[in-house]
Amino acid sequence: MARRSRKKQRVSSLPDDLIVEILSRVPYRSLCLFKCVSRSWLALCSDPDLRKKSPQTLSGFFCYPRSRHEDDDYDYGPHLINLSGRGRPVVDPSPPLLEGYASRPLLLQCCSSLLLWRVWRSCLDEPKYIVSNPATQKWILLPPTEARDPYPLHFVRLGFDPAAMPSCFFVFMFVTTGHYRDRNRITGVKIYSSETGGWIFRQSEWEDDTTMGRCRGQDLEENPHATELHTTQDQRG
Amino acid sequence: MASAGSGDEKAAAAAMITLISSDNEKFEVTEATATLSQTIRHMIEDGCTDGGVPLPNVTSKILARVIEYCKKHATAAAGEEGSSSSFSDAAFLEVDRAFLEELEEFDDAFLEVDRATLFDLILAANYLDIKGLLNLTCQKVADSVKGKTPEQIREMYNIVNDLTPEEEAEIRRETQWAFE
Repeated sequence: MARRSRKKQRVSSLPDDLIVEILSRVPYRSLCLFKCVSRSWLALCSDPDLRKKSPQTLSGFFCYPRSRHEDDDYDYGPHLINLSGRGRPVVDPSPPLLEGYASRPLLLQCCSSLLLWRVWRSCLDEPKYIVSNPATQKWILLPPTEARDPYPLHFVRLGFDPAAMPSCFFVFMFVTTGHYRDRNRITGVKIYSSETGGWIFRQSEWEDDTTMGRCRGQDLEENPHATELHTTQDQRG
Repeated sequence: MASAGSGDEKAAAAAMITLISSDNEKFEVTEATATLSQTIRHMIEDGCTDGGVPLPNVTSKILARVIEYCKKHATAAAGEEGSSSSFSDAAFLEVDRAFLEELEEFDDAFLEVDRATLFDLILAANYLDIKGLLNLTCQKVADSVKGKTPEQIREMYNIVNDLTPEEEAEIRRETQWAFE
């Protein structure tokens, strides 16, 4: 009896919660395969707790459902459409409604599987920003930037420095002059780092006529790393 | 690098904690090293570490490895604290990067153990509540199983397939895309 159980399986010498801890680190595809290993693995791999824990990459795209009801006020959150149309059930990508915030967060950008949102407490307030990971459903409300800006509708972008700090994200907020005439002229950039949890400000070294192009539909593109923006601006200048 | 006898003021000033393994071996470590374990941190806060901390779930062989990990990472944490004030300082970033690289190399070497030891380290990391070590060891196992087929997993861990052929066929149908 004792011999049999000992021989059985080395992985079972770990309690279930630790096996879940390990399985939460394997890709979702592997989890699906592992359901066929045995009855106990089927139970472990189907555990909803495991799905919540695992940092899976979701492939799909976001869209805002459009309905033409009278009470429609454009306040519906984005939906994630699974690219393959099958496989993993689709998650709700929205961060939770924050207490004291009247409106739903507005999705600004999706970059390397993180989402950047803008949220207002009221129309008089400066907007705040949220970065969320839809796969783990973790999110963070960025601290307010220090100075109040004359023109609060900044261009804000998510960025990464995969070579130096792969587990870290940055949020770039381009600060503009605030004059109506040339309100898109960039004077500097505020950079939030998830590592320090704070903002720093960098004066713009771009030429005076560097402005931000407001291009519609760009907001949800995978692409814009702020560094890339930098190069395009340089080439133009 | 710095040996215990090199007169490091910080280490000398710090309180020492005695950890006692299941086979009654005693290990003396600094508080900074010991408190990487949340379990021990709580014991220190509650003032119940006099006369040593018995760890009946951890053998001396495993405890020695765990302490080795904690020592290295406690040094790293202390280094970070000392110089984290100037994020924008390029020189600091450079030092930081070298430090992280060294730590990564240490971690890689640390994980060069057989599977039984790795599992014992996971159990110890969980019991002692050492987040970094738990993450490191679990990731190592996860990396070793990902991309494997169900058959390979059964073989690796001597698992008997107790699913009926019908059940298995059903699961395969549901998760067909993963097999493609």
